[in-house]
Amino acid sequence: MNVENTDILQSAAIEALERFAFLLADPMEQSALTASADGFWQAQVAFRGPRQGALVLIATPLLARQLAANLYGTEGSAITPEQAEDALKELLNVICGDYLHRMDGSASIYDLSAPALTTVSGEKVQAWLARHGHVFLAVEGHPMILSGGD
Amino acid sequence: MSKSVIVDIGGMAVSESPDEVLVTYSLGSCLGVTFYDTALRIGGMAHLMLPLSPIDPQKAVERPFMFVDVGVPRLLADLFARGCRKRDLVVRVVGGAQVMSDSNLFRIGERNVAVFRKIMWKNGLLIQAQETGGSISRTLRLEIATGRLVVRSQGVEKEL
Amino acid sequence: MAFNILVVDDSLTARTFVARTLELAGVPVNQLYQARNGQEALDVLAREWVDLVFADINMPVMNGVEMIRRMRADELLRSVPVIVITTDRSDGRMAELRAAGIQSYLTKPLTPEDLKRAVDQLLPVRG
Repeated sequence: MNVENTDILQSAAIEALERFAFLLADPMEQSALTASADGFWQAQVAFRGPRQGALVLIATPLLARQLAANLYGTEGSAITPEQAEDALKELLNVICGDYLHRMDGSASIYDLSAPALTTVSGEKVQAWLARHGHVFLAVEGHPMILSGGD
Repeated sequence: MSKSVIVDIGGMAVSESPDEVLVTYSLGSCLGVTFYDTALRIGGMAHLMLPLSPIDPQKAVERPFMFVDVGVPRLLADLFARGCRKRDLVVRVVGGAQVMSDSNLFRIGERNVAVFRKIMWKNGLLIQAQETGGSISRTLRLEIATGRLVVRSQGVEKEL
Repeated sequence: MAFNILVVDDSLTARTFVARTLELAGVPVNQLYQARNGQEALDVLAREWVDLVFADINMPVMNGVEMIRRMRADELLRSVPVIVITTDRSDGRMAELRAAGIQSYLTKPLTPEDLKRAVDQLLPVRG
């Protein structure tokens, strides 16, 4: 599934990163994916309501740890992998809720699934980017990708 | 008669004198940050311009109060060194407007606010009052004797 | 006076955010209970007295709407104040939950200051 409106998704993501996670993000023209030794984390949340589909967020474990550190108000070194995974899922949850609200206004009720997370390789991410319309952000130097889900 | 201490753009001031008033003018996308210790009656104010210092590390050393990420912790450190305690500090923030210039493209005002909020959250401080955003210029006055903070914008004064 | 508070959210991050905000806001907490879904929350409520509940809506096993309905149908739990914290900004959902008698409806992304204001309105004035 492709995201219907990447501009809206991009605004929702940048605002959620700023307001919720205290992270500054810039849209990137090119999908310049740098290598990540730890691979990438791919989180997905499904939504059901006037529209049905899924939203996917891809980021490095390093950025997820930074995100969790911000949300917990601590240092990255104090963050466990479990906390980092949970923080990334919660970010996607927030972005998805805001995206749907921006798309449909406040009349529509959606049910969101619990976000799921998997680890994927850089090649898998490249292949994903080629297949899906997406938003590519640089979040304080780290890549972050948002797209529709399968 | 109170004495005005002017906080310049990219500057800061801390005062313990009850006859002083800290003032900063024309906050657009810049951030006016004030801390006031209600127990010790010490006030601090900074007029910060940009969110993050890594874009110009040289400037960050020469003029730390240009940047939210280095200026705010410096101001806090100054206050703690004077004996201020977190639980007595009133945190108020003003400015961060979207100004009609090229800088609007980079959302500097909103980013200044985001970085400030991050520093407060990390330091365990909640923001008591916030008057940010919009597209107006604001002037700030912090009375050291009382902790009263007045925001003036387009001829209208408002206490925060 | 210190309060018993229950935070219901499937996200550890979201629960921690609430806990930290309560701490920074100086809310006196006696016990802070956590639950990952509506069913776990009802289990806590069945054995502990709770002064205030924070509840997410979208959760596995039992969602927040169902949890609140069951609380409102229970004589002992009916009057426990609930603050909903959700990504769902729809008027429909808000109306549904207001009708079910929740006290406050906050939407994510949420600031600690938003949360503090909601708590201040609900809990008795503290010294």
